[in-house]
Amino acid sequence: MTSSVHEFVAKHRTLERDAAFALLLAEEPVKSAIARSPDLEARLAQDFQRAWVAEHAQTIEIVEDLGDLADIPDLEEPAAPPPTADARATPLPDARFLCPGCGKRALVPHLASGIARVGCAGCGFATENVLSLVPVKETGALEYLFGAGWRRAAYPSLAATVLAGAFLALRWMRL
Amino acid sequence: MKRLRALWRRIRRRFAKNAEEPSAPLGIFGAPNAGKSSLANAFCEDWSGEVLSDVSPVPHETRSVRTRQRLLLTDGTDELLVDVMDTPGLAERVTATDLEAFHGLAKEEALRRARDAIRGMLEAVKALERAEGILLVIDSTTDPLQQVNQVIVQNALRRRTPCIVVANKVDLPGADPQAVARVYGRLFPVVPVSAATRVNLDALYAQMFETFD
Repeated sequence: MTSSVHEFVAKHRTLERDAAFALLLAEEPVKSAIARSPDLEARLAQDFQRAWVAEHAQTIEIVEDLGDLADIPDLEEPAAPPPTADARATPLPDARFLCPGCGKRALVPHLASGIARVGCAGCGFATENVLSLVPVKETGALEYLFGAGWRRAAYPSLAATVLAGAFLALRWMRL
Repeated sequence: MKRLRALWRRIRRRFAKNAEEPSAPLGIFGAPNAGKSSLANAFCEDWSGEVLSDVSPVPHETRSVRTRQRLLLTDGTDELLVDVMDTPGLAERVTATDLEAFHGLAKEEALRRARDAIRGMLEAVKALERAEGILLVIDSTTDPLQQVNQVIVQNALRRRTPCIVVANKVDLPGADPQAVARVYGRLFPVVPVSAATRVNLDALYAQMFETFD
């Protein structure tokens, strides 16, 4: 049984878009849910569109003549949208996650348009895929202990330690 | 690695005779509705007579990590002292609309569940860092190649955390534990079970003594 719009779209990706959406609306749990909540159909249409675009963006078309690749301009990566402020979103008290964008420990779970996301309060990085925060690469000892962005997070404390050390050395030399 | 860990445990015991023997955090991970809470309950009932978590057909029923501390598993010769962590299901995305449309929740309840679920998933990722042993629970009626399963397996491999893949729900029609074994069997031991109907749990316990000892 299908349990999400993305799963449904993946299963019916070969159908025409409108036919697939009509099929979704005809599914039994969906049909009765729409009967209970009239605005659900519009929200489903939005989610369906997102899922449809994401699913079909993964399709790789084989083109025989690639033409002159130098003529194709580089794509600019769109800026990540800032996380929507949600009054009920509270930061995890002992969050050890470092933001992949800015390296700060500022990741906050929140809900935007009904989609659960994790966003950075510092730089605006946002993702709805929590799995992307799971480390799956070989980690060094320091990275293992202090997290992926330990280098960036360590700079201020390293600078403070050097300054304190220099100060103590100067005091010791009575300069 | 196994020998080193055993040696480390012996050293700790030797130098901390008066202290309690340390227990190892054992995490139960997997996709929503894979049967993690059913498995945690089966464990806890078998080894302590208590139930740990609520179970529901609606995904994201477990939205925070629940731990049963110092659970002692014994087979007469070996002993395993573990903190069993039942973790929220990890998923690529959680949307309130899915919960409302496919699982019959009211809008407010769906929004609340989605919000709590993402928080719970972050807790689960943190528990993954803490776990010294992993039970990856896969619903064997679904595609074993889901991203969540691959991410947990990759994490266990990279961190060299001992892991057992539990092919759950073998009692259901359409279950294909062989598919799970084909995908992950060369990396980790795969044990087919049905946590809800208590099928083959003894084989899982035997495998746990072998892998986590």
